[in-house]
Amino acid sequence: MPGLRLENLSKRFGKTVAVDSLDLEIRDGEIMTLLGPSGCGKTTTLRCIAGLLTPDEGEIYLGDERVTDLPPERRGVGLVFQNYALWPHMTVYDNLAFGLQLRRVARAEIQRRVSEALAMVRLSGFEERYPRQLSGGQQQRVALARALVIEPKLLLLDEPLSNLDAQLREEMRFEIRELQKNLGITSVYVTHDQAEALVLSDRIAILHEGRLVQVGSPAEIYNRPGNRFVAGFIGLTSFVEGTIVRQDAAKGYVVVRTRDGLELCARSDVLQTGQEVTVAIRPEHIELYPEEPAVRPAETNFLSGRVLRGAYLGDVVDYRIQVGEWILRAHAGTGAILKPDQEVFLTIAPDRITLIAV
Amino acid sequence: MRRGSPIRSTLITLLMLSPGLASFFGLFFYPMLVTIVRSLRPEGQQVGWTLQHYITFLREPRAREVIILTFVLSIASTLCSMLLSLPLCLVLRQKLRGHRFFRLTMLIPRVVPGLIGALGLLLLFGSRGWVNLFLMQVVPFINEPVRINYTVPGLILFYTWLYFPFTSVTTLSTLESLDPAIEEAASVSGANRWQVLRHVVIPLIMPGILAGSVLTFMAAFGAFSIPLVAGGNYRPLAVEIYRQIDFTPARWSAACARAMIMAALQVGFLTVYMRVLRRPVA
Repeated sequence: MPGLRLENLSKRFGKTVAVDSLDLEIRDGEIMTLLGPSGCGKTTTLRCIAGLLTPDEGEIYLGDERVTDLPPERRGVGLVFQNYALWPHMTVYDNLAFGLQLRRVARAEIQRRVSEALAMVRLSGFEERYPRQLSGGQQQRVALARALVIEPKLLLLDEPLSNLDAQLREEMRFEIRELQKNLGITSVYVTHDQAEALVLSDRIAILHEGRLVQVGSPAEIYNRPGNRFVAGFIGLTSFVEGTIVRQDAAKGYVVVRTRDGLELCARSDVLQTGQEVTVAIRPEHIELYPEEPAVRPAETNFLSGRVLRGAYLGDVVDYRIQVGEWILRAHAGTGAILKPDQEVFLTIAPDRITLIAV
Repeated sequence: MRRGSPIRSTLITLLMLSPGLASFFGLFFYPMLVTIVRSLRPEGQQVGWTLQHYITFLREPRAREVIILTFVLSIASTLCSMLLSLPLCLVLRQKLRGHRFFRLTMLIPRVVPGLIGALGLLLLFGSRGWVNLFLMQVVPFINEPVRINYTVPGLILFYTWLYFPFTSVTTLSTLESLDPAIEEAASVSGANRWQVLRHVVIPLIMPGILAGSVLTFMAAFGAFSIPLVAGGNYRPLAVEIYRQIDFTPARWSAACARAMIMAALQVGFLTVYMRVLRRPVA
């Protein structure tokens, strides 16, 4: 049984198509991230799922139930907002109890469930505080507890960490992930932060201009981006364009030649000679050598280029290197820092290169 | 860059304050002082002190009536304005088609001079006015004109018409400053529209509405043109003061004493009201 299914979901605002025939299935107990740049339709999708927006077309199924036309109060989902949206005139206790009181849960049961939920987010003893008396992180944990206390079938999170400072954000990622796993609650998490998506998701759905671009596990998305947009959006990537000129079917390698004569060997079982491709290379997969290595490693791409500039990032130096007419970004250790205009030699393992058919 | 000397910056501060200070002393403090002094002089004289005017007025059996009427009119019309503006603003904030037109229409009572508004209302609600013609045509039990003009409910109606914009403008701005996510969170939590309104929206906008209602109350308390034209025998304090000047010779001292009493009531009421408002909202 799927936790949540979206069928052909579309939502327009005037002439703008915010979500364009989206099909997506979220498995029971899974946490899926909707990831994309702002304006990609991820928040609109989430709001349709919550019932705060009515889709123009398509259906939403929660478990086996069709909920497309249900108002939000009858969907039984929990929603965590970016700006917490706690009720400022209610104490923490009342914020959590509100949903239960509306459901006519008995008083003693409310007390038990509220204190359980607060314990879950490590805020026991904060019952009588008002939201304004809490820090941002604490407020967001209250918002999380408030969404969970009604024991929803589905937990929705709309960029819940983007108002928090970097350190807290990192902590909370794990906390949310752990809580979600412990409760086994089907969750949809909206973010534009790829690091967040990679850390907390079982699967990631990449959205671009209202359309679903790729769905997959974090590793799949990162290592096998389906198109140039995904490759460029997740992690740093340099792109080179060319055509496949040879293939070695036995070993599963192909050779791509660019228009300026650069040849790159990459692994691919599916692409054929003559196919135009975009070559995506991640900076951490490029090895840099200030001098020509005496022994060239076998079956690896060997290139030479010129350092354009380097940016010191602390753990690595981020170089831009001119190779032929292409600019590649490469990360190297901070041991020996290369200078601009210096000649440099690069190796890239064929397995590490992603080919995207144009 | 050379920093200005302390003396210079003090001078500049004083210079910038001077228009404000001048108008405060010239337009508020001085007239206030004249009124106080005048209320304590025997009628028509520039020397001597007396509390006679206060005592005479407060001993008059009418005094209590006038004060109660003033409070009833201003409090009732403030409440009516609040009750009227809440549903209206809830609709207006949804920005339906034509909401801009209604936003402007809402302000008309403040744009039309009170005197002209009052005359218009008298015509509208008179025994041959459109309202009565309509009621007699449509409502089966009403066969003769309903007396609205020159009654207390009628006056409250007129007051509400005139002072309603003060309340509706503040109500609308309070409503629009409310974060939509706060309401959305409530409906996702399981509250229907009515429950969202009752448990979230109203408690949150109440302080703003009450603070805004101070303005309505103040204006209604000092209302003059409407009761003067449309009050008939019902004369709130402002009209009562004016009547003292209307005598020949004008009873300036008596008018000033009444004005002081009116000011004291107003300040007293506001002090209590503000104190109640400032209590932390639970």
